[in-house]
Amino acid sequence: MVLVLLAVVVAVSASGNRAATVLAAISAAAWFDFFFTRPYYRFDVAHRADLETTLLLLLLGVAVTELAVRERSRNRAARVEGALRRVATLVARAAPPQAVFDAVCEETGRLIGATTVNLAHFTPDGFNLTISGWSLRGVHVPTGTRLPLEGQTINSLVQRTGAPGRFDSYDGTPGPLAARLRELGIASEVGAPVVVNGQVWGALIAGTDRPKPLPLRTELRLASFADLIATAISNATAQAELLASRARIVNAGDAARRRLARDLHDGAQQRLVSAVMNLQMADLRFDQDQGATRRLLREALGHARDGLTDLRELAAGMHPSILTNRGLHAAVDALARRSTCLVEVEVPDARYPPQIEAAVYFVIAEALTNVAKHAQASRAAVRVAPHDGGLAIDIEDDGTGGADIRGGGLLGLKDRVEAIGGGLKLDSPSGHGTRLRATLPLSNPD
Amino acid sequence: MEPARQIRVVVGEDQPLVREGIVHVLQDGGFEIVATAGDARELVHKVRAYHPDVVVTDIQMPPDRTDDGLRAALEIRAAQPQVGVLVLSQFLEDRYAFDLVADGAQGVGYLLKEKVGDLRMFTDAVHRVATGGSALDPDVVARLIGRPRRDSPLDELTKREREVLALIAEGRSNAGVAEELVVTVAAVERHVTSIFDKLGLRQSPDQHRRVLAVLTYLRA
Repeated sequence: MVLVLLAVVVAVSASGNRAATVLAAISAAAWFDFFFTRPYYRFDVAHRADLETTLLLLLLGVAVTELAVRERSRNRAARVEGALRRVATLVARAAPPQAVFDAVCEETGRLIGATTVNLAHFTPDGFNLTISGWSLRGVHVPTGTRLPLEGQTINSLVQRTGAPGRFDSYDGTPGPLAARLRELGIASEVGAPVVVNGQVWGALIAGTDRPKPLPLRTELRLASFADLIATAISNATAQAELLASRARIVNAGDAARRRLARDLHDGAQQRLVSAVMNLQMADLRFDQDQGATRRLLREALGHARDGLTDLRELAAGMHPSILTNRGLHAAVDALARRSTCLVEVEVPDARYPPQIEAAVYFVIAEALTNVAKHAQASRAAVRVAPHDGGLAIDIEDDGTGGADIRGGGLLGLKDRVEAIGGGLKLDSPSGHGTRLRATLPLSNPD
Repeated sequence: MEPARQIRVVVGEDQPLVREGIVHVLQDGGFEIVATAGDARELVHKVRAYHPDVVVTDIQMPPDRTDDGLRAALEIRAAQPQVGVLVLSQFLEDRYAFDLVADGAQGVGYLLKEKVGDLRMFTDAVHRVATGGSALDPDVVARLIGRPRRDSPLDELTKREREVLALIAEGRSNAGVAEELVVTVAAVERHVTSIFDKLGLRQSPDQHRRVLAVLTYLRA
């Protein structure tokens, strides 16, 4: 019997609930008094043993409770850590973003005891796009659901504030998203923002169908996972951009080679073939017809000369010798002189590493080609100046504006500039001229 | 009349095929080839040894294969101003030509390499440079004259005046211009006066100053 009472106290205290433990200890002591101390079968506290027992039981209970509480919080911390580590590992391994999103939803859901967890993306056109979802009972907003981001929901709250928050009830809340949540039986929700590159990209939302809202700490937990998602997204975005730009650089190289082969074939080669044919015919007629021979020789000469001109122009277009031999200032000056509109040039006389000079030159060459082709400008200005430990290149014109960075030539430039650690910015409002700014680091990024 | 002394030439060109071609063409044209060189150092060295009337050199030569020929030409001019230098180039860039005339248009020339195939133009240029004149490639001059300008007095020139201006910039004398355009020397002189008036340039009886004035004007 004594053992039974002890077992009850230990069992209750192991739950970690201090109040319950105290209650159990006192009641066990009372029953001890009732059964084992005189007067038997009465709750009279007449024996010293009653008090001692009560005290002992209380001490035992409290000790076990403390152990249980500590163990549980250690367990919980370990579970949080484990979940974060599993997700972080996925992120670090650059797993497919969807795998990271799905893992985060499930891990968070199980960890905080939510009924559903969703990852939402706030689209630039004002929609809430469900990217991933998990639920205990298989009822959640399905991936790919696109609903207007309006009405009073945790989603719009997080989007507006950019901070974690909660919504304790959706009863009578207007809006399509709230209606959908009521349908799914979600009673309350907690959310944390996913911030990518300083923008609220979306939110990680956890909901419960129980009447009692999720505990107060939940937001902070969610925020840790939301940060991991943000890292995964910005990694994936950077990776995708890098791959795309690499592919474009390779394609541009291929295209340039194809163009070169075609130019050689259509130009110099044709002219040399014609020259050779004329020379052959001249050789055949040499003895019979002096006049025809001379005509053929002259034609051959003409073809050969044209071939030479073609070759010179082709070589000059591939790499300007003046850049290597005289530097940026001279090369940009030469470009400006060749331009169809008046170009003011302000370029330092200094020499820079070859890849920097080439990048600056081709930025300016492409920009001036664009000015000539599209801008209908009467004048342009080119300025190269030290900037932030590197160089800033500004090309402005007074033309029609409306240029698009995604236009073929500019995108190629952007790739080229970014490949050596720089950046390209375009400002080209329709009707107000175009300003292109490229910045380049002077030290090699590698 | 005593037969004219043969003009003595040193040729700098690293590609043997082209070198032989140039030597052949010049010999055919009545020039005496006193030496050839395959790189810029050898060229400077041989010019110092042979004292030719004129050096004909490729712009791009060993050791650096950049503008070694041009640098050798400038070095030769600094050391032996009486030696003319004609630089053959595959680059249609006025900058190189201006580097050459920086300290005078006397006895300098800049010709696109493909012009070697135009015998008359080539030998004429070598002759002019050897005798203290100048020879600037017509394509380089055309680009110089044709570049965009704002409110330029060049716009006021007649078509014929522009032709005359181009030929002056190339380094032709009045007689040379007259021959090229098939007009009289007097007609050329009238055009020259009109051109210099319109451009606000002072006329100089000195041929070199005239070329330099025109080039400086066109470059600005």
